[in-house]
Amino acid sequence: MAKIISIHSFRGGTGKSNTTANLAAYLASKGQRVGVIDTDIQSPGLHVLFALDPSEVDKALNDFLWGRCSIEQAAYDVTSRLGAAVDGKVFLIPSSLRTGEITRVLRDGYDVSLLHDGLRGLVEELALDTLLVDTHPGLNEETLLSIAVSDALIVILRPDQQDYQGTSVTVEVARSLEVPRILLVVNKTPASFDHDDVRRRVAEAYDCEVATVLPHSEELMTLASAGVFIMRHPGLPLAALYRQLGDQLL
Amino acid sequence: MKPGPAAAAVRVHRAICQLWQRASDAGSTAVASDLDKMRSAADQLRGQLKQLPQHLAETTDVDGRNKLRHDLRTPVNQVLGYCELVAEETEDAGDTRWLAALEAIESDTRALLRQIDQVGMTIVRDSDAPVPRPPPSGGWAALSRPHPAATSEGPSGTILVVDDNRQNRELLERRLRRDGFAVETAEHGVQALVLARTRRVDVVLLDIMMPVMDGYQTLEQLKGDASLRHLPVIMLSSLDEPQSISRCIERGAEDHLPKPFDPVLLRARIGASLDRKRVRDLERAYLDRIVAEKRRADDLLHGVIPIGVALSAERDLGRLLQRVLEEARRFCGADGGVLFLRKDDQLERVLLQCDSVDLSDTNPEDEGAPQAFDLHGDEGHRRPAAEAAAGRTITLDDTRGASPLDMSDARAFDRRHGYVTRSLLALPLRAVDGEVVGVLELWNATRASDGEAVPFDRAMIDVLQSLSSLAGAALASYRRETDLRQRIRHLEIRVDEANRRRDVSQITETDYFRKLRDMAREIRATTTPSTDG
Ligand SMILES: Nc1ncnc2c1ncn2[C@@H]1O[C@H](COP(=O)(O)OP(=O)(O)OP(=O)(O)O)[C@@H](O)[C@H]1O
Ligand SMILES: [Mg+2]
Repeated sequence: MAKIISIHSFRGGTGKSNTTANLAAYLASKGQRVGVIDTDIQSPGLHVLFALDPSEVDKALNDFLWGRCSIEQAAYDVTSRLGAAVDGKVFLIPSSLRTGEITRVLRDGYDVSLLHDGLRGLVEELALDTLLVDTHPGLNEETLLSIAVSDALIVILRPDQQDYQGTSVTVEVARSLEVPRILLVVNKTPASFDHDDVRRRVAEAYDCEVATVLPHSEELMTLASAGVFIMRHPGLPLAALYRQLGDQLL
Repeated sequence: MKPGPAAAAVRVHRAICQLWQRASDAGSTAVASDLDKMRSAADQLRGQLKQLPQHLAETTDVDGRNKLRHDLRTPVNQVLGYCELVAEETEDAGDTRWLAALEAIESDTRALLRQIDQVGMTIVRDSDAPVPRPPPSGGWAALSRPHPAATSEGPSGTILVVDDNRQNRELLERRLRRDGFAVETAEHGVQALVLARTRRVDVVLLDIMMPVMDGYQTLEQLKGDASLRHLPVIMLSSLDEPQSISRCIERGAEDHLPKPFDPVLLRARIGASLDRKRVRDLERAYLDRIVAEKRRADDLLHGVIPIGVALSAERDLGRLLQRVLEEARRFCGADGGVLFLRKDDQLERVLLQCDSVDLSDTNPEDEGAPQAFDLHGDEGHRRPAAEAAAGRTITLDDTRGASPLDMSDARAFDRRHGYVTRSLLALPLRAVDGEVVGVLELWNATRASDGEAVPFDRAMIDVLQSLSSLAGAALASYRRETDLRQRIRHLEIRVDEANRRRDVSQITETDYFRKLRDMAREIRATTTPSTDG
């Protein structure tokens, strides 16, 4: 049975989209069929990482959810755009999701399992092994919805005082939603930090599993979203850490 | 019938002797001493003229005859020069006793000069009528009026007199000093070039016929040297043939003065040369400024900005500091310098470089200056670096001069290494928010073109200030990172419990959330078995 995994962070710019794309590419390289949904309406970024031009996007996820099109029409096979050949598949369901519509429906007392059915439908139609949901930062209603239906939640934070309070709220809310698995990822950690120490202290502070501590990477910054890191720089330490993270989700 | 030149010379000699006797009897020793010089010149001339027929017979070529005339003119010009000078000087002093006799001697000598000019050109005829010399406008009195410059505070310029004849030099020197100029003298071209390079000179008066290095060669050397080319040169010569004049003008001489000098003409030509030089000096200064401005713009564009980028990318503090100091020194050719970092109320010296001192095996602890000092400690006399830490840019042309600043660090370094710290510049290194994070101190700037020691100039300071702000930003960001690193070492994840509970309950205690949770439970109840299976 497929897993739905949401990737979230309290603040923006922590590396959600990059983590999502790298996980997708890695899982596909392991032979999985992977779906990726970009729910970040304000600042959609995933299509850039997969080199999908907005002009190529005709139908999006909401069109499918409301029966306006079939799943094949909203999902874009970006496997050939990963930068290297993989055994599996990556389908991108781009971001014009209009979650506002969905939440309004939920609030008005309609069948709240509609999105879940939609997501499950997506999983079935495309025969997905994993569905990754890249969320909008902060805890608005549509994000809560994504978290609620997830089998696992990855919360990304930076080793920065500004992230600590919000992350603790997120973790607590996710627990309250009874998400089966919550993983913390520390990203953009300066190379000079003692990474093991960071992992220990973060795990202790949130009483939560820390999946990985990712370094701040000049190469990733230089890549500037023009591609998926592990495909471009498979030999660099950060790529190995992304793969390790992926292995924990297999 | 006019007497021949030999007879005329005898007459002039006699008149001078008589006047000398009068002056001696009257106790006018200064006049007598000048007349004595005139007498010996006239005596020399008398002897030369006696032998003239024989010399003319022996010398038939043009050059030889030129030389002959030149040798004859020299004593004549001296007689004339002293005549005029003594007349002016005595009249200035209100002593008119000698004027009439001097005027008579001068007039006879001029007549003699005209005869000499014909020597070897045609047959010297005793009957040649002397061409009367036009009297100087206003007579002696006009000439004796000092040059305006003489009345103002200082000399209006320095004239380098180059002549092999000692009496000529003396005469010119006295005349020029009277006119208010400072004077340097040289016996030949080689000496003149040395003086032109080492002393302040505004105009060169250059004789043509000289031993060792003659006037033509000297002129060529002067005009071939970029640093001396601008010096106006006035050729002095008894050789008034047009081709020798044009030869000098062609080679860059400013002007030409025939001997004997007309004092008015001498002043006029020197004045004109000085005026032209002043204009040219202004032009040059202006041009230098334009060049400096352009260099500054280029330095900024091609030098400072890329360095700023490189500095902000530097991850190793040691290398970062090294580069800041090295690049700063490169922009002003500074021989040495120090980099300080600010730590609370202290300035800590983190790096010291000095090219001409071997610091390789000295213990940094005894580098003369303390390793760190308190910014608010030394009251009254403050170190240049402490001033810079307060946000000021400090420039000293010579640290050994009087200064309200505390120079003991430079003195200690100088003593220890037998060094001389002359120019000094201290600049604050600022972070983007303006906070001073360190101080850059540089010593002994040099000019890029020739390595000459120079004070720190405006252009250097401007470029260094730009560099300092970039270096300051790089240091500040490095420091932020280090602070962050230190914080993580005893990483405190501070979470406010009360706030957290409030934020969480604001989300979870809504109908929407409860519905969501129920839905999630329902979904999991149906899918969980297969998910984990
Ligand atoms: N480990 C890292 N090292 C260096 N830069 C990183 C790292 N991870 C992400 N970045 C950079 O941070 C920026 C934000 O990354 P990304 O878009 O993945 O974050 P996001 O959380 O999805 O942001 P948003 O909230 O805007 O959607 C990007 O420029 C990315 O290149
Ligand atoms: Mg994103």
